[in-house]
Amino acid sequence: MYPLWLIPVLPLLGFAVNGLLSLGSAGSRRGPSRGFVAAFAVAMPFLSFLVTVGATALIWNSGQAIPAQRLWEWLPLGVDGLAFGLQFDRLTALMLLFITGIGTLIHLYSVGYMREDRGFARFMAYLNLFMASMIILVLGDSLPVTFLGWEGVGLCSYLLIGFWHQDHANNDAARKAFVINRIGDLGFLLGAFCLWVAMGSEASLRYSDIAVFFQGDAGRALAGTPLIVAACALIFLGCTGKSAQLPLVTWLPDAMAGPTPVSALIHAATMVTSGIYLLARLSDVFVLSPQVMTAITLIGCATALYGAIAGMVQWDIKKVLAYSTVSQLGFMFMAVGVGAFDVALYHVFTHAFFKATLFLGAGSVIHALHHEQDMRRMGGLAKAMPVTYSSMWFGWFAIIGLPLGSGFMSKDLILERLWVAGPLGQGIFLIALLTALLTAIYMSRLMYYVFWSPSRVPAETRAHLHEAPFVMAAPVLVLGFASMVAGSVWFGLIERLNGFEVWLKPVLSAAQNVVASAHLPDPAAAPHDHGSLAWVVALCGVTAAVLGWIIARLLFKRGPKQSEPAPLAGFAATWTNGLDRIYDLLIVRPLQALAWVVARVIDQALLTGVLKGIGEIAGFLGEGYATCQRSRLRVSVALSLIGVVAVTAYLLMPVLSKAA
Amino acid sequence: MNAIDPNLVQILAAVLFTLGLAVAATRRNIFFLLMGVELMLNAVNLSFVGFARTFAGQGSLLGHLSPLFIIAIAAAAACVGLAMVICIVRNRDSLDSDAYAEMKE
Repeated sequence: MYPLWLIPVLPLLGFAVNGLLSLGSAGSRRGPSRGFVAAFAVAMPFLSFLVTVGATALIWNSGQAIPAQRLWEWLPLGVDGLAFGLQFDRLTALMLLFITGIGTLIHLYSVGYMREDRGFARFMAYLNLFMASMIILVLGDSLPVTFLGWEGVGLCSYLLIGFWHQDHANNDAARKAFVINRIGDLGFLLGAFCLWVAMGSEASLRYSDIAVFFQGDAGRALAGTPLIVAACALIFLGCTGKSAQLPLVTWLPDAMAGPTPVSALIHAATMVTSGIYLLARLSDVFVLSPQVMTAITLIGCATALYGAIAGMVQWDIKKVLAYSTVSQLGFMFMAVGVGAFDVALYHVFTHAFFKATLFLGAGSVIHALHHEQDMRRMGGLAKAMPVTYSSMWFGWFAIIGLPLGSGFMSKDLILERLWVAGPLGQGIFLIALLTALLTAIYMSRLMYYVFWSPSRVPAETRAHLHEAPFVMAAPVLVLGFASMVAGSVWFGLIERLNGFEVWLKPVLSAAQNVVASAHLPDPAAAPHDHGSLAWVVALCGVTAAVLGWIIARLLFKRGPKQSEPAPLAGFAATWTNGLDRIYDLLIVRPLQALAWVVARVIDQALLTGVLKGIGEIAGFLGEGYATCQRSRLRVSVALSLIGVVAVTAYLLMPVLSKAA
Repeated sequence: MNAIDPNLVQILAAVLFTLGLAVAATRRNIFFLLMGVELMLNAVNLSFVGFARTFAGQGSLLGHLSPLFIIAIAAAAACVGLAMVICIVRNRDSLDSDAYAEMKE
């Protein structure tokens, strides 16, 4: 039996060791040995990566998934109970390869970035815990196991956003992420319950059982029923929370308060894509509810556009990338919504590389400028930091979709699938194309402001400008290179180069066939002009990218007008806070009003009134009785005598009346 | 041996009890109060013994035994009561029961 359990346990071990070291050295000024902590924390995800590669090789050779391994009995669910099980199929392999691979590189980068921080061991421990949670999320063989990882990554996200907890703003951002994710998690849970009810009480919520049930006639008969729609809608709510889609989007830009490696690992490459993973994992269910699929497309489209526009007006380099992530996640959801699960996962895959590159490159820039994040104080850094610059150039090349970059491959496939998905899809296609144009503009704006415009770095900082150290530069360069070549696994323009699609076919084909047959009643009449359509779409995409670059060159070549940072004003300030204001108006204020009513009217007036009233009555009666209670002993004796006489007389009354 | 009229015994007990009660209720001196209580207890004892004689039978043994217990317990109670009285008197320099009126508040 292949030791799948090693994959999550290794980083968990790293968490335990580094966590204990961090706790044990809490009193010392310097903290535990940097070298040991770093070596251990990087080695654990790397070993996980090796085990993952081994498992992938195994299913590559045998051609079938490693059967689910049940580690121990966990929940009394289904016929024979639900075990804590792990499964490793092609989808898991894909996710785990880039999670552990990119994760290891980012751990390595963190060693350089966080080395001087007092909480280094704690930081690495949290990162390892995150890796373990994320691995459990994608390796779990049932919804409850995935939920465990789902909560775990949420917790680690909270811990790492608020890592520099001396600053209240960071704690606020961490709490915001936690609370908004909690809303999504509630959706996940309720959706899982709905699914369980729909499948009958004998169901176990194992993915294999879900797939068998919903690919069968019994499951297909449930298509479009309110229960399935509710299940899909609720699970999708969970995905919007984790993947920062409208309306639960605002936590992700705020999450940039965390250290930059965290932003790269959690808030760009891995955790935020778990929503897409879940949708793909449950694709057999989602295709049975076309209403929710349409909603996914629309929300993805709105989010992509929102993120792109918001990215245009940011000055903080990390905020630009955060909104860019939001926008790219929107692209993935658009693809999911039209049933192109494989393309969405492809974009997850390529995005993980180029967004990690961009974030880590931004981290190197911030590091070199002594934690300066405002792009108005950057510029002209290309010469000072050639390795970082060239890596980020690769990332930029990929994300705006210039030909043969990885983003070009995946984004064009998304556009193509949108175009063939009926009239709604064609409308969405146009907005997606506009978003791609905006993407090119704001990403080129970032490049101009940071690297290509005249330097606005303050003189004293400029004297200390330095290229990132080797442990930081090397992972960025590797990722930058990967973001150029990652697109080679599926080239939409050439028929044969679709290894990625073929790889995922056993997992996703059943669901995608359902969608395809809905669009095209007769599969034989598939569009035969596939080749020419692909070329046209690619041309559109490249035009958008080049046009965006040219516009950005005209607008931003000279750098920002004012070099001194001023607080955001006007549109730039209100645009991205708009959502917070809407939440405030729609949710927070009514809740506060309700809380006020409960506190003042129900609690203070009603409950307190009744309780105090009862007390008052007792007190009043006591007062009255106390006046009767003479303190003198003789009087007390006399009163008790009268009482005895009265009681005796009452008891004797029947006897006396009879005698009379 | 002439049997005493049982009614007379009970009347005597009632008179004694009333005397004790009257003492306890009217006298202000604490010692008189204690004496009144003792008187009432002994009136009850007399009543017990009288009834035990009147209704002789198996259950009447209880009527003979109860006074013995009451005497023993009353002796103990008197000890405690006298000790308390001494304490209070030392505290207050007064035998007047009306002087102890703080319990009300």
